[in-house]
Amino acid sequence: MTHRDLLEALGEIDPQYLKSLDLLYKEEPLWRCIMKKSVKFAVTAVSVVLTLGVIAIAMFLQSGPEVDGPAGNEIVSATEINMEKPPVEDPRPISCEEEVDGEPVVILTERRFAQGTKELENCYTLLKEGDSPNILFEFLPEDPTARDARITSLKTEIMAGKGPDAFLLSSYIALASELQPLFNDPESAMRSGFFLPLNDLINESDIINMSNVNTTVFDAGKLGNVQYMMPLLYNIGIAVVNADDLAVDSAPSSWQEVLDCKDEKLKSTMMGPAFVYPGNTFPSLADYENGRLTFSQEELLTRIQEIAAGYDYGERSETVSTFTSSQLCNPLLSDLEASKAEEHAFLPLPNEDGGITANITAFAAVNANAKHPRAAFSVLETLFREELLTYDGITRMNYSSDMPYAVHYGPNFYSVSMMALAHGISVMDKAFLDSDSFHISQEDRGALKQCFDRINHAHFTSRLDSELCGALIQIVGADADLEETVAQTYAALQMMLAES
Amino acid sequence: MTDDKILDLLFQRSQQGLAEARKKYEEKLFRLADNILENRLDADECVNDAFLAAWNSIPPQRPDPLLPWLYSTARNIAMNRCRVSSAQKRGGGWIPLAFDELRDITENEDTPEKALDRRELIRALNRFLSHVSQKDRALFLGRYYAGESYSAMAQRLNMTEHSCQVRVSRLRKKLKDHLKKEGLL
Repeated sequence: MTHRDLLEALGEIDPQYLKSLDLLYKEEPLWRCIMKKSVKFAVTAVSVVLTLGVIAIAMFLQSGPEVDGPAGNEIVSATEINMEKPPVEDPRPISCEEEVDGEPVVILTERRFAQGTKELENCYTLLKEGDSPNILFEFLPEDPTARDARITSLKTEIMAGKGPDAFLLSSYIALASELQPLFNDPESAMRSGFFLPLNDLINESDIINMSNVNTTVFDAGKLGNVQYMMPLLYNIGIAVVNADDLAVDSAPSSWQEVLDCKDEKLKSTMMGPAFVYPGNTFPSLADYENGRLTFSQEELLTRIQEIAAGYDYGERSETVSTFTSSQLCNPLLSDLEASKAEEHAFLPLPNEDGGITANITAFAAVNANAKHPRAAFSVLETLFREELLTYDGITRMNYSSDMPYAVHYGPNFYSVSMMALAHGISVMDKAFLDSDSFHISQEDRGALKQCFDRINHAHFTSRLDSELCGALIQIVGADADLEETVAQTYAALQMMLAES
Repeated sequence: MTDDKILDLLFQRSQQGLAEARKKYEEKLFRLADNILENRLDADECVNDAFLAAWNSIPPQRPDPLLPWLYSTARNIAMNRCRVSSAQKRGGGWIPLAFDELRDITENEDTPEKALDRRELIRALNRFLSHVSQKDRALFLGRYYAGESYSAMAQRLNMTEHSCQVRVSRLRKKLKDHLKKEGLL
């Protein structure tokens, strides 16, 4: 290898490292340049005055003719040297030993979360006050071919005991896009031992406040008593309509009550979320312990028939002003904010048990083989900072200018960046609702909190959900044969479960 | 104007996007090109070429962040110009003095047994850069990516020129050890 090879290779290094050049090329404000020069001048002037003073004293102490002799000449020449090289020329106020040794902490995430990673890194670095390891975010490609190739190689790496230090992933991708998720079924991945137990780290954490999180949702990341995954966002099937268009004395509180509902308009409205999340009408989809689905093919056939028959979108949409017909997420909250003068009826999709099933749409986990598990966790726990739920983000005063001003790190982090990763609401749901991110009416806030309290099951959105939703679309949208489609879907679900 | 807005304008094929990009980054690119080419006229042309490349490549590319992409483009153009200029001079030094220091690390001649996969070398450099502090990265890349003088770097980083030289020399040694460890030397 010649130095030409090295120079050319340098031209192709990862662009992220070029950000360091900003230290050299950042334009300094004019006032700082003037200050620097003034300080330099003042230091030089003071040193000259002091030196001259010392010489004067020395000359005064040395009497008579000796001043004109050789010793006097030596002193004068020393003065000249000092004037040319003032002693305080080398300020070096910052320690050179700021190096963070070791490899970077690698966190795998989605490309769509790129903006969020910048905000997260800024907040993390700020909170660590310079004592932070290098973080390297690896983005899964969005180009399907490149993505498939990278996922295949990542799976091999993970199986071989390598891979990134941590994962910050969207499980919603399985349902809402054609892109292949890294883990088709995150819960299966957890059971396969891919993730590190986090109990000790969570217990030691000063940031994760368990009283803030929705326990039912958070516990979905547990196997037994061991927490392997940290759910970050979730949503529920829900329809929210204008109460003037649909009088609801009491919304059906179980799936059976939905089916028994005599009000056809109400019934068809409640089928909206069931159509998107058919799996949420069951408490859970899979019995992972025994590797089987929780429902038989006949039960699935019945369920699909029930939803397909009750779903009459055309009739409902003409008569009911709907804010959402499917899920709880930020656009809904913004709509509620915009129409807070109106009265809304909240119709969450109940499951067979009479509670609500939540879909976890984004989660974080540490690789079981992480080289830097603590450092990786310390980045991930930043996601649980309450300040990030607000529009202000983490606020710090900047005193470096004449007029101190507030700097906000990660404003809109949850309401914008996290939503780019996956639609949903923070697992710190009540704190999220109480933050200043949304100004919805007290009634609406209360109704949503009731929904949160009714959550009695939570599962990670997976390919199983998208397969069920796909079957309904085929039957209702494309008039596919009901029994044949259900048989195919059931077989596909079994296959997915066996393979995951 | 933010990079996002500049990119949006470039995607709309608006000349204003190019004008805003120039306004924001021209000075930085000029400095880099001038360090390498040591000729203000050539540097100016190099910067023009870099912005022309941006105009031709965006869209479909959407380099985010924009500045590192522009740095790479300008540097590649400047290095190519150096190569052409050296060929014309038949053997004249084709790289600036700063880059010549890298001879400390490498062999003088390529040998078949040392021929290596370029991608491997880039990966090794990335790993090396990930191990050093941000300030060291700035020093190393300032010197060997952008051809900065020690005095300019010392001034910007609030260091003395001597400590700057010492630190960069340590980084060269560190890189040499790293490349040896990775089996590339």
